[in-house]
Amino acid sequence: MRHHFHTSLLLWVLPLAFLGSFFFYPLFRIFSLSFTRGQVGLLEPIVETLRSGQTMHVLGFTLAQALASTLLTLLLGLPGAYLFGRYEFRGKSALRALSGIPFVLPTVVVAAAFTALLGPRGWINAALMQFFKLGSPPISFVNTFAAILFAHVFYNTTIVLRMVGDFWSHLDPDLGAAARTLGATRWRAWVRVTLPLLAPAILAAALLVFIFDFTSFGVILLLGGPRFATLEVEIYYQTVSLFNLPTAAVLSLLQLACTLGLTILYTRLSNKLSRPITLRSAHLTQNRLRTWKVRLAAGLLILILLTVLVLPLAALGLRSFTRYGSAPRGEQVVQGWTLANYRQLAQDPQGSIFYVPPAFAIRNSLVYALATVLLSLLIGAPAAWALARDGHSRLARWLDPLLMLPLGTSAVTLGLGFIIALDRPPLDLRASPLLLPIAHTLVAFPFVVRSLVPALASIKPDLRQAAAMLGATPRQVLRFIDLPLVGRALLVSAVFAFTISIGEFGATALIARPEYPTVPIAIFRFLSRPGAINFGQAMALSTILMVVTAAGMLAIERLRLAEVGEF
Amino acid sequence: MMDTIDKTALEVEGLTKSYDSQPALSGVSFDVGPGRIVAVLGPSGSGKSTLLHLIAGLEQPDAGDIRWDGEDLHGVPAHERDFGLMFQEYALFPHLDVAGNVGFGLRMQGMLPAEQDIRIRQVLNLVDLAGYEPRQVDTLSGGERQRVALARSLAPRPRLLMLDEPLGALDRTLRERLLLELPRILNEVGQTALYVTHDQQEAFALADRVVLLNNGRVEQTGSPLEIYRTPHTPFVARFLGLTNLFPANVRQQGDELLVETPLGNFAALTELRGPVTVLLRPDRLQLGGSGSGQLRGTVVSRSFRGEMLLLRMRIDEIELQVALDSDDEVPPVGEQIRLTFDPATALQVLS
Repeated sequence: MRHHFHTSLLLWVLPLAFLGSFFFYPLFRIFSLSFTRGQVGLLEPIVETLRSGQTMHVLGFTLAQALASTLLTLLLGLPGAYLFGRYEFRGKSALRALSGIPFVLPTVVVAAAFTALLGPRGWINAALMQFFKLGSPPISFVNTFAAILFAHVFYNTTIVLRMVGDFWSHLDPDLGAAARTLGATRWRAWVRVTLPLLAPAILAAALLVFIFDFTSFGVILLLGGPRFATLEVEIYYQTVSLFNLPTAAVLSLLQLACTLGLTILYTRLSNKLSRPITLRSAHLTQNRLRTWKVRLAAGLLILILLTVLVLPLAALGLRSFTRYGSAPRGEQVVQGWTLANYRQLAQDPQGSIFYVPPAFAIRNSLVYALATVLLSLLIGAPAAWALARDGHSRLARWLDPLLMLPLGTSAVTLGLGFIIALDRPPLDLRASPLLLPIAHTLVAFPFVVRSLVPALASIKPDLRQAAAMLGATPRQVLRFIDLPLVGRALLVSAVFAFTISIGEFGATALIARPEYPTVPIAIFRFLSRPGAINFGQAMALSTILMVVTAAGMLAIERLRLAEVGEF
Repeated sequence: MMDTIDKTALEVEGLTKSYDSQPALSGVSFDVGPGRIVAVLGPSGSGKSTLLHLIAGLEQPDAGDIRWDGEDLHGVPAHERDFGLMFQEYALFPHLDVAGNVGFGLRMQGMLPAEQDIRIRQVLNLVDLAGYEPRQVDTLSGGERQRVALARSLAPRPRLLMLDEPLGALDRTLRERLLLELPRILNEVGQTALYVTHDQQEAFALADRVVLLNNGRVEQTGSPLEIYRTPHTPFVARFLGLTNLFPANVRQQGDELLVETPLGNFAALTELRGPVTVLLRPDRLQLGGSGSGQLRGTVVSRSFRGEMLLLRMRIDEIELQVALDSDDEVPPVGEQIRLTFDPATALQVLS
């Protein structure tokens, strides 16, 4: 046992050293910067910042937009969850997979997609201008509150669809039927039995959506414009534009406290979710769409879901292949199909010295992503192994939630921590090419560990014994059982790390060096500059990024071994 | 005929194993003849799985021998024993399809791929899963997984096939069906098999011989019929569902042997003397009749079980189980009845 314990300890060294240096130390520096700024009292600067009208305004807006977004998401998601949970229809699994794509897309892609659909050069404005022969776009969507809400609904509806829908599909319909045999009307049976059983799932989903909306950064920055600032965006402005690090640090603390509170609330709720109520296998609870009324309602709902979740992406893809230009009377019109937007990625049309060609950004992103893959596997694999070996030991029970902490910390806060902490020896990494991969690894690390642990734990001794009984030598057991299973899990983790790194925007926006932009940074720059060429390049780059991330996530879904024996 | 019965394939002798000084098996001995199915029957915790793991070579015994055809298997690792083991939870490889699972053992033998395919098709046919080769194991139902696991352990033609509670995880209908199929499949290939279960119905339906295990020791060995007709110990009787057990005393009275039981004194045939346990077999009691043993009591409950009728009756403080033919006249609950039996066959003296 003693020997075992020492091995475990050894496995923890690298992950803990990494988290200590690049997560806890920067957080500590954010703390100390917040507390030691003023000469008067320890808490004075914090109180001052918190009491300022600006902070209250930002916090108020952050909460308000998160609340509004969450309610809208529930409005669309709950009917969808009912459809997914209770009905079986053709194309259901395709619709389910499709609805998951927005969730995994980088924020810059989402911003680009909405711009492609509803922006001044977007499809809808172009169509209206062409049809009514207008000189300027009639709909102004970008830089409005509506744009923020719409993008959040687009992003998070799948959370409600999946969390509530899955729970619903396992909820025994006989419970409602039992209530009705006991004299309840259909409505009362729903209110008294189904809804209370569903409530924890709905609340957990709503809270998770709220957390994502609360910490939203890219969407607000890119689609909301300078008029709107959440805490996250304010930290970014204070850091990058005003270089007011102490204020940024205090805001980070505020943000951290809020997300921590919300996360604790969420964990409590989701623990409640797993209480043992009688769950039925999903195929026993599903109905067909029988009457034409039900079919009509379902069809309408599917159409709405497709419009909200798929149309922006289609708009982006198509927009990247269109030529767009001025008609004789000055209005912007679509002039046909072209590959020019993609060809221009390799060129420098402006010939300016500050210009970084998109191809270079693609190369940077690939290099950073590969480095992130290596680093996060190097750090994540030992931790996952230790957790899979003795996940129930006291040590592991303490360390497991610790590993997940970076997940609850906003990317901008992570970036700010890097700026504050890693600028002097012994950790002077400002100029190091490793800075970005390290930041991305912090974001990817929890995902890597979470996908490795179950795979490693699934290699139960009986699989090895079964192989031995079939005549496999110990070497053959390693080659045909252990390696393929671990290899697959490693591949899934690697794709996770790659996809996260290639789309990461929050931390990257703060710490990427201007001369080495990543693809999301390049898209951000193109979108914030005027001009048709910039816009076309943003569309092309975003489409590439969309395809890469969606392909990555599909690969993960395919490579993951389904749990044998679930229900 | 005689010589094939006398031959033994597997011999287990004095097998002993402890975990953390908790004995799991103590001195277990039995044999399995070639082509025979032997069931190891016992409640959970009786040492069945330990026994299988020792025979498989997955664990090493503290003492005792395991021999095959007289050859000592001590120190022979699991993968060289040429024994098959079908795991309780099947242990199907999640990263391989059905063909990959079934062909795993063949691949380990270095069989040519074309021959592997033929053998895989053959065993999948045997278990009624023809055409299942490309299926992923996570898409299979419980019964299909069970049969894939069986096909996988049969494919390399092991000298001995061991099955660890193979029907345990299945629902009732499926169990009943596989209970009929399994002996057909095993007999079709003349497979020597060791079948571990806690379910006496399964053991009796499948096995030529039964080894009854209790607390790491062999309680009784014999054919299913022998064990059912003459259980040697109260544990065996109770395990078979025979609950009419009473403390008794065997005493010599003149030249007659007498058992004194709470139900009265009866003549008995036994070598035992002094305090014993007696079993009054519920299937040897008759309504009315003329047996020398006589009992009077009240009917407490009755339940119809197909070909027989199970009655509980009370005599003073004692409750008795009575199995009657279902075409007997059935007395209603509350009625006083008189039962007779022949002590020589109905009353069994257990150690």
